[in-house]
Amino acid sequence: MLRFRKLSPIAIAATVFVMLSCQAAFAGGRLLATGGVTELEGSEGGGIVPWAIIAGMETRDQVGGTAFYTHISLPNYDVDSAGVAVGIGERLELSYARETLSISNAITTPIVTALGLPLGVLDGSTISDDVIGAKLKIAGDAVYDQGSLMPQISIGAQHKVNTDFKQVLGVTGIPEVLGAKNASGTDFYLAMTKVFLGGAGGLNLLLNGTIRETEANQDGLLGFGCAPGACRAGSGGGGYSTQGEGSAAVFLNPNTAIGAEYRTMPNNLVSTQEDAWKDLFLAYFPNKQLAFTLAYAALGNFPGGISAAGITKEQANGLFLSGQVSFP
Amino acid sequence: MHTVRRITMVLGAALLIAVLIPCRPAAAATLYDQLGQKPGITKVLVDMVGFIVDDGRIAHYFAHADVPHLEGELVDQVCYVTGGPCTYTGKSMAAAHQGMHITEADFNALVEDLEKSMNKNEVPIPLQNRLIGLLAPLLGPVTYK
Ligand code: HEM
Repeated sequence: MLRFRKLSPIAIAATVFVMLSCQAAFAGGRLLATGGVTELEGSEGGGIVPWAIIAGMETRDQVGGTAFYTHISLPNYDVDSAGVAVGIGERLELSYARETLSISNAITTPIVTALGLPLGVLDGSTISDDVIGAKLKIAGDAVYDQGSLMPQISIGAQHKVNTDFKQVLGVTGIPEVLGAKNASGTDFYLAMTKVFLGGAGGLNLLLNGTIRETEANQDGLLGFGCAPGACRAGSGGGGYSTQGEGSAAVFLNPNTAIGAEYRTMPNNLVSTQEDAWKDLFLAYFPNKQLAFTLAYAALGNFPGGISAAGITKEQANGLFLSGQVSFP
Repeated sequence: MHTVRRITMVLGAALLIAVLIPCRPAAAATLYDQLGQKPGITKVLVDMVGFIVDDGRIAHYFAHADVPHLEGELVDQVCYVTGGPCTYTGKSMAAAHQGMHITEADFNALVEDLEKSMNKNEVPIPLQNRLIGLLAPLLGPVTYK
């Protein structure tokens, strides 16, 4: 993971671009920019919301796939995510991603002091999640079912394992300190995606709605559920809750889309307030194999440190950069 | 006095008309009209067929095609679906492509050749999107037959 932190995402994107721009001639079966990019958890979607679209440029009789890297730069945090997905016959998607939250010492030092731990023990802390995803298209076609309102509908699951739940340098894990109950959890979702060709004053419009059942705190980066006594009033004890997510995008031309996303969060932990995640994005598809996303992400409150009053809040707003390579 | 009033009135009326004409709803024009009616549609489709027969991905399907006949049928069909005064008298899409085993990738290749032709003929993106939107549902009847 440290490796991912040190490489600049721009350098990676540039390398990938150079590696692939000379191969742009090989033909993927799908239409340009009728698919999406890879969302943070490794599923085909927008930047933070899984869509009903299946990863890759394959058609129903082909196998395809994607690889992606995303970096979100927040004031006292960074989020990095990298992963791969396979799309089988435009029906089944299997994905793996590793998400990492890097925490600045400005946040961890007061925690170390408050807990009486050896100074510097949490310096350079990261918390990672492994995410294994599966998505199955069950009905409709987002692009070809024009002239009807029928969307493409998919169901999916994301099994997440927080690998830094309990231990950082043999002491304690930040998710556990904050009151999370479990180190792993599984999200289940239903996504509906529809492309309206010419639907926005002649421009192509994509709308997506996703309903998710989840126990995850901040996407799983702060663990799952809440331990007894650590649950926020009204969180239902930190079990599964239903969250709503939406994306809207307009293709200004076949290569460029702008859009917005919104995703509600469970807000299980009394120690740290969790808000809806939002972003405004610009996606650029130079060809069928490449996609670059530039976004402004507003991830709401993150833990800001420790004060006499408890854990303070920190607005996590920042720049979101992502690159995706698609096959075939 | 009289002349001045008259000139003012005429100028006023001209101004009013000049202002109002662009406000007439453009949506009243059919896609057929916006594409330049039959001459515009013909140019786009003839160029598209030109790109198709040069397109290594799908050219083999058209090796024995009667190109002038195909162009005529395509023009009638697109004229009709875009709201023009034509009737399509060719075969149904399912019947026309029966036994060809056209795949979804082939279909998309043809759509790309259409896009190429529309770009060549400087068809604005919104009109391109609308035409593709009308043809996209033909994926089912055309492919895997
Ligand atoms: C939007 C998609 C399509 C439309 C609107 C369309 C339309 C037509 C029409 C109107 C005809 C003539 C029917 C007749 O003669 O009565 C035709 C024939 C034919 N189409 Fe398509 N087609 C489409 C897609 C495709 C694709 C993807 C392929 C293959 C890659 C294909 C291959 C052919 C061939 C080989 C013929 C026979 C030509 C001949 O023998 O003269 N079509 N199509």
